[in-house]
Amino acid sequence: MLTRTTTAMLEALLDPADDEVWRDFDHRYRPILVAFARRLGLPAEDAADAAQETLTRFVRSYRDGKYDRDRGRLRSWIIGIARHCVYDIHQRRATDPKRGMSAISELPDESTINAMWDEECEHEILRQGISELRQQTRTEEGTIRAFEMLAFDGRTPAEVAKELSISVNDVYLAKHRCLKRLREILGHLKHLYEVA
Amino acid sequence: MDCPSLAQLEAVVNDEPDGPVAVHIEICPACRRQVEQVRANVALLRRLSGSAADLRTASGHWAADRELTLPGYTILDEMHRGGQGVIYRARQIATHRTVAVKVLLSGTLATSKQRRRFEREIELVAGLRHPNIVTVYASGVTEDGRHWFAMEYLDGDTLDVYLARHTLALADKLRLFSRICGAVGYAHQRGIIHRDLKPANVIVGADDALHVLDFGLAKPVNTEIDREQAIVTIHGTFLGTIAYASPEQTTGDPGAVDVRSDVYTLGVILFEMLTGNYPYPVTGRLSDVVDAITNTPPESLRSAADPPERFDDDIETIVRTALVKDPSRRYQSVEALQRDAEHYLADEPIDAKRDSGWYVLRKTLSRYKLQAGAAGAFVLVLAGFGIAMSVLYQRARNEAEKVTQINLFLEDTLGSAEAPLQGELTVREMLDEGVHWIALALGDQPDIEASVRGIIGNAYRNIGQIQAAEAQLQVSLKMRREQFGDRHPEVAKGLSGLGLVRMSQGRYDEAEGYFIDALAIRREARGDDDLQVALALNNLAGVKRAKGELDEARRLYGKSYVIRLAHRGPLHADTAMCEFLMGEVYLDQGLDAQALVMHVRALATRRTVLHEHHPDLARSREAAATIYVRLGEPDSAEPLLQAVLRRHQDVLGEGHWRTVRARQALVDLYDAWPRPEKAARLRAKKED
Repeated sequence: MLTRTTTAMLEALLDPADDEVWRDFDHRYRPILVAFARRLGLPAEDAADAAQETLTRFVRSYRDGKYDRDRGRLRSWIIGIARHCVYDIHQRRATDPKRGMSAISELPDESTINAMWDEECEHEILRQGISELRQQTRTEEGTIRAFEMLAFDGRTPAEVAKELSISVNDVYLAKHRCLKRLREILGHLKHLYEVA
Repeated sequence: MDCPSLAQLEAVVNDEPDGPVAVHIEICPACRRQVEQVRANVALLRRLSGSAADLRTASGHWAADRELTLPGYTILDEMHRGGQGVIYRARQIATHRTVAVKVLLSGTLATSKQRRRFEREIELVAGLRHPNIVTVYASGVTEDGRHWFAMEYLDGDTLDVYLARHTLALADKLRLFSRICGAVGYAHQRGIIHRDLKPANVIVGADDALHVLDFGLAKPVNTEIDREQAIVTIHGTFLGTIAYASPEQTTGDPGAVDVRSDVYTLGVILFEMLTGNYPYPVTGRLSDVVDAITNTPPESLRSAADPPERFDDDIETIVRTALVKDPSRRYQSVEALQRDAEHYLADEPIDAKRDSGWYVLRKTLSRYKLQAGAAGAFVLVLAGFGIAMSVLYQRARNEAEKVTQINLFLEDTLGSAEAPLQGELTVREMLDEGVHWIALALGDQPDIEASVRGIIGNAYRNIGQIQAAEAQLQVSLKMRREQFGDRHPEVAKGLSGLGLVRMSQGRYDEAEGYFIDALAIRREARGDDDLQVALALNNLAGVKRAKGELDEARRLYGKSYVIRLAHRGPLHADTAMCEFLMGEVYLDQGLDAQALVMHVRALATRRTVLHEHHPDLARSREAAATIYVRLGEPDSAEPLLQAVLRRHQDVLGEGHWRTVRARQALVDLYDAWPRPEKAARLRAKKED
């Protein structure tokens, strides 16, 4: 579970000796960067490259003191770097004859790109939230099972109750307990991702 | 009432109100708070269900099925992710048919420009019905607003993979290529330029099925130019795959891109199919690649092939013509490119070389023996000359042996040439140009210069330009003497040429002198039993005959005949020539029976070894017919004279004096036979 807010993380990033904070940062943004690059048309392998490249460039310029919190949000700064990396890879792909793949026709406009980024952030938060929910409900196996069957498998409460040999009411209880817990987790995560 | 269950509260949230529950909630603050929680939970649950399976595993992997659910289809897996869209393998539930579904990548967030292009693509491709273009089954918009279409699912390899897996002969590759051209040409006829052709967009199936895919970047020909569609945008984003791009595609001016851009791209593809490489370097920085596309001339197939391979000049020319940087000098259509590929496969002259006269003639010549067509002796002269030029240009390699062979070939060719009257000027001009060229090009290669002047001199003589012939032959002889001394076979050759000129001038004694010298030199060098000696004997016999020394002429022809029979056998044109000449001398002497034996033998041989339009065959027929007429056998003469007339009509045309003479000979035959109706019919035709 992430514990630091992004603001706190940015502070800590200024300390070159703090390896831990870089791992956190990487953990937090890499999945978003990969998904973002995929949205912009890169296949999995190249999207991973784009994410790596974005993180590397971010580190380098952050250490060079190029990020000025007063001048812009972290979000637009990272998006800017990521766009460049994705574009570079598109260009390389277009000029790499062995791949023979088409380059993208054009990158979408800025507001579209920003919206894509936000969607991917939200999705990543959701993903981390569910992962965290599983951690926290490890001990209540029936509860999390009932929840997942309802949420992901599209089963009805009656079916779930029958399969798990519990009452329908227990199914509802499990469901709402999990959802409530998840909402709390998501709220916390959102707070962590937000930059003060 | 007791506080309602969670299930009941959910029903309320979902707008399925239960009267008593609703009333209870109004009065129970705890339940009111609970309803708000349930409402938030239900909203979150909706989001989760609408999201993807990667949430279920929380693995962080980006799952394919997060992309798409499509009513009526089961999405199986992601096949390809490109600049514009993602292609899935899917099953159409109703038909159990496996299809490929393409969905616009950015979905609901796509720009209107992307959407327009995607819609146009569907519209365009759906309108194409061609066995080599992928078929579109259905299209639509997903619930969340993403455009999609389902098309034929193609099981097979992309062209590059296919070629890597199969070792194909050049002809097989060209046949594949021709089919690709056919598909693209079909689209062009319907106003669609592909603009993104590449091996990855061509699928070859196991059953040899071939499909061109992804008209994703296609635009209708001549539609108004959307400035924003620029191939290279201000940001330098490239539309299409740059390795296969045409020079005009890299300029960013969409108006410059027309069907000839696809021609260029097909040229790159053909180059790659044949060599496994690109015509110029296409890796590295975008600006370098663009520079190579715009400025670097394509390598030759020969030098690009890995492993090294020989390509003839025609296939080099086809590829080079497709890859001309300037669209106006390229093949002007895919059909033209395809036509030349087909010409090449059929061993016919390619159109790309139509500009170069000698090439067409030579190509015609190479097919001459197989296909007795309209090709005439005029062609032979020009073609022969063209070969001399081309061979000599290639002389940098200094393959003396090859040059010798070509010279022999030329002598053969020009030796049997007869120039139609109307062609003389042109032949003459070509020869004059050749003389001019010799001085410029061969000044430092006297052996070649002497040889070529000899060939040109003989060609002049063949078209009756005796003075010009003599000038060239004199220079040639002088050079040969300087290089080889007085008693060399090359000198004998020069002497023979000049002797023939003197014969044409009616200066028989001088001619005889040249021929006697030539014969002596050849005998010194080769002994009595030699083909060159036989040739010299024939020349000398000719001058003896001209001087009326007919017995001596026949004796000399007889000696030559014996040598040729021994070296060439009875079924050879040279042997037949001796028979023919002996027959002519017998005729001169009035010995018709002996003459007939020789001429019939010569005719039989020539029918076997020469093609139907060869002038010597016509001469044999004329001679035999003459004798039959004299012997009172008009029914034997008739078919021979008819064949001669046909030949002259086909090769020389109606107006040629030989044609006129052949018709007159037939008319005379019918008059004397007599066959008045046939004579009248022939006369009438003549007057038409």
